[in-house]
Amino acid sequence: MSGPERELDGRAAVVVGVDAIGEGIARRFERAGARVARVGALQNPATLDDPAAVASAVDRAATELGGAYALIVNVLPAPAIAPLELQSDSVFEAAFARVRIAAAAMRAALPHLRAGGGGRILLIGHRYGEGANDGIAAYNAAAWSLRGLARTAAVDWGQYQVTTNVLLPFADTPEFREYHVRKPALLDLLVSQVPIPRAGDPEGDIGGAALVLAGATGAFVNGEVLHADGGMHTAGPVLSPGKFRK
Amino acid sequence: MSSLVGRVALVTGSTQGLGEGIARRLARAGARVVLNGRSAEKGPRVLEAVRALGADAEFVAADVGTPDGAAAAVRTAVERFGRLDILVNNAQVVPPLFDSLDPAADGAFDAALRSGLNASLWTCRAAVPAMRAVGGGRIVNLASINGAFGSRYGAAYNATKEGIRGLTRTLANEWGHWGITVNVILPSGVSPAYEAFYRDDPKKADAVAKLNPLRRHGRAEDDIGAAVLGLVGDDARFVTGQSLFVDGGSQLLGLPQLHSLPSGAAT
Repeated sequence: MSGPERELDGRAAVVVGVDAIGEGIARRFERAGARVARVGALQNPATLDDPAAVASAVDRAATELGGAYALIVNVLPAPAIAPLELQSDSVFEAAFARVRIAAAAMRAALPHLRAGGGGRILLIGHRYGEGANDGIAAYNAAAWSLRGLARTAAVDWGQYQVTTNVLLPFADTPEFREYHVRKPALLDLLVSQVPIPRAGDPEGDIGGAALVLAGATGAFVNGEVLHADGGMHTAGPVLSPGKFRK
Repeated sequence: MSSLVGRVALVTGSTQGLGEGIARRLARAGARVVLNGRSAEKGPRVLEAVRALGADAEFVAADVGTPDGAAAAVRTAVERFGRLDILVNNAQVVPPLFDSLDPAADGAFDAALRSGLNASLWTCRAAVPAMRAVGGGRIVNLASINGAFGSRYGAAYNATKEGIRGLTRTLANEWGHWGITVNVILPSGVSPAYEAFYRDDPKKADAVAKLNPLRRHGRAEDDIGAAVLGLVGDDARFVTGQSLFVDGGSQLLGLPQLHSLPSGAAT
């Protein structure tokens, strides 16, 4: 692409849940001209445990930015890997606690988005929610519930010119690289079946797709699931988490 | 804004409505645009309008519902501008509504499939060598909420549009390794026909807009064209095989079965 790429000039965004993907999106948005605040880190789960604390952090970040146009919610935890009969109530509670965090962040951001005349919310989910995979029942259920949350927000908050969508990435993250070290042949087979046969770059590929939704190009896209996955969802193969049980 | 400077786009069926809006949006982003329609008469107006945006544009009269017409449309882009990066398959004959039990629906099937599904395959096929020559490409096809929900009496159109979704996924799988992405949108946007329909009934138009989560109608250029721009720009380079409603979220609420047969039609 040539010419200026400043789709988000003058805009502010809050990213809740920093990891490789959250940071990739933040950097792509900054390159597009946005001021970006980062709230909570997936490496430090305590920063994403308390809905009230996350809500007040989102509110504070938006206030310090002088408003907020976009909210990125990237809070799904690492999956607990075990067959369903071994996934306890507490495993489910831990996974769904992050869905409550997502809702708390959205509620906290809404007044700021409305004050600016509208905005964009993106929930970062995972293909594991869409494709049913072995050994991660609680994670699958929580990841898929983000879709219900997003679709409801799309209907409830559309009247405020706030769009809400889900982004499902397949990215070259540290977790992906760790899996690749452990099972290179399996991972290579998986990637070879993806139409665009590579794992996505967190900034260029995943952040780029997020920008398609957050920029003017996403004006009329609401309640949708966008796959930033090189077409993996079309081809079908999804990594089988059960093979990585420690 | 997303920039398509240096890129060449072919938008089929772009002499009016959503196709024109898409072409205008891509032109505003810097693309050189090849416009297309079946008849030559409709070409000059839209060509003038797109050139007035400051874009380099060409018009090709061709029926993409024939292999030769599809090839001619692609050839125009390559001969006039030297390359083809972007293909938007918008052309579609919309047949009249039929009861699916009515054998007369067979003719509607032929017309809809040829002008929509076959045409999309034929333009895509013709475009691949040019896209491979520039290291990749972007294809956006058009499906419909009517297909997704199976609105009654529209079997020919609906089956065609859902067929286009199947074609999209297949080509995404086949051509991704060449850097060609293939996606499909299901748009809801205002076209001249849509505006004419509501011109005498603004209350009905308002009521329909209020049913949309965003409380407004989709705009051909700045909503539907914008989404296409998003999918054909560099930022969507890792998005392929995707079906994307561009409708403000109206499909979340379902599709009322409002179609009725013309009076006197077989039931």
